[in-house]
Amino acid sequence: MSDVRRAHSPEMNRRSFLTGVILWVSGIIAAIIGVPAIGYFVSPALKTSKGEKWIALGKLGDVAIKKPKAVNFQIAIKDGWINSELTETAFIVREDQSKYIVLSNQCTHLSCKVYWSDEKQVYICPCHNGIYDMEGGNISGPPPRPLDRYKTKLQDDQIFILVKG
Amino acid sequence: MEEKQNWLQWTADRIGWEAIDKAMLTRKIPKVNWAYTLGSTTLFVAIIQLVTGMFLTMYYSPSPDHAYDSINYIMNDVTLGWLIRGLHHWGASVMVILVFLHMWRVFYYGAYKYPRELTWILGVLLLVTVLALGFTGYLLPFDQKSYFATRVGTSMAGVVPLIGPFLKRVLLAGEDVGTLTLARFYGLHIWILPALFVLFVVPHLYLVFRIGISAPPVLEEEDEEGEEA
Ligand code: HEM
Ligand code: FES
Repeated sequence: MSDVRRAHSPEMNRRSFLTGVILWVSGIIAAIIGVPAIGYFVSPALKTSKGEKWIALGKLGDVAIKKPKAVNFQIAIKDGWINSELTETAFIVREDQSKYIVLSNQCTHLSCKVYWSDEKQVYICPCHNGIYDMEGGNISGPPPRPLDRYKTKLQDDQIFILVKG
Repeated sequence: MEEKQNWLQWTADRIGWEAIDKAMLTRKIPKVNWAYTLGSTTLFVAIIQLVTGMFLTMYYSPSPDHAYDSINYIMNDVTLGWLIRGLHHWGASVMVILVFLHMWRVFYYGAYKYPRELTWILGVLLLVTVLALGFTGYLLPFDQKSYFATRVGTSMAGVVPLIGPFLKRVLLAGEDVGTLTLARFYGLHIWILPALFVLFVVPHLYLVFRIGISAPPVLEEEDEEGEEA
């Protein structure tokens, strides 16, 4: 190789040039497949449900005072390519004639489903023994905050809650 | 290599990179032409098929109720799903074409002769594996074309003397294309056949490196002319 070339770039020769080209081209090809693959993989995570709707839970008159009532309701979901319905449960808690709240049955610790124990007068989470009082307040166990409350409205004694989906 | 002991060098020392580099990348090869790159091209497309195939399994569902819808979902709802599936779909045909071109090159230059017979035999196994991958993959979308192509293909197996009807029932897992056919074609397509492919391609490539690539068979005088061109 001539002195001129050497002076120009002492480190660059035919072999290292080709090595560089091969590495770059390989890298670019890997990126052409790899970058779309990342988008492809995370794609469902980018789709969040934006909608909200009011769902009827039942008559307030049917709920006894100071006796949480577990009510099932269905929400339509798009599960991948399948349109299906998900059954969820909420607790209607009536404090007196006019005051009531609707609690989610989802534990605020790690999302297990809590149940109401008539005997102990608390909600119990079976997963790590999270205990909540009748209004969803924390009594003991790992849950970091009270049970979530649904937004509610009353129309002709009919209770509605606002759910996502 | 230079003085600097970076992590790359550190790793390379432990792997024994020099030996691998000499045996695989900077090995001496005869003066050959572009047709000799067909095997590498096939390998490249095979890797693309492997990678895109793995990603397809993340959405594809191998049941008659869901197969078609899941592929529709990939095409219309998944980010760049059309690209990943498109690569796999067209790659399958490209793969078959490339394997044949590579085989013809080997045949044309007589590169299958001693001492490369085993390389050729492994090549034949690879050819069959690639065709089987194409055939089993064709059923997976479970549309009309898949359904009838699989009926035709398995019926061809059905005319084999003596064992034909039994062979056909084994392939279909029953009398006709259905749930079990789809499940086993899926199992073959994503597990058995790719595993066989790797099992055959590794020794195939080992032999290519061990024996070295064959030089094109040219007469002595022609060789000299060739030097100028
Ligand atoms: C299915 C995928 C296959 C892959 C990935 C593959 C890969 C390769 C590669 C990378 C080489 C190095 C030389 C070249 O590229 O030409 C090679 C050589 C060879 N292949 Fe294949 N091959 C495949 C199928 C086949 C088939 C179907 C046959 C024949 C039936 C075959 C027979 C051979 C032989 C005999 C050699 C040695 C050629 C020589 O030394 O000149 N291969 N293969
Ligand atoms: S999930 Fe309820 S206590 Fe852990």
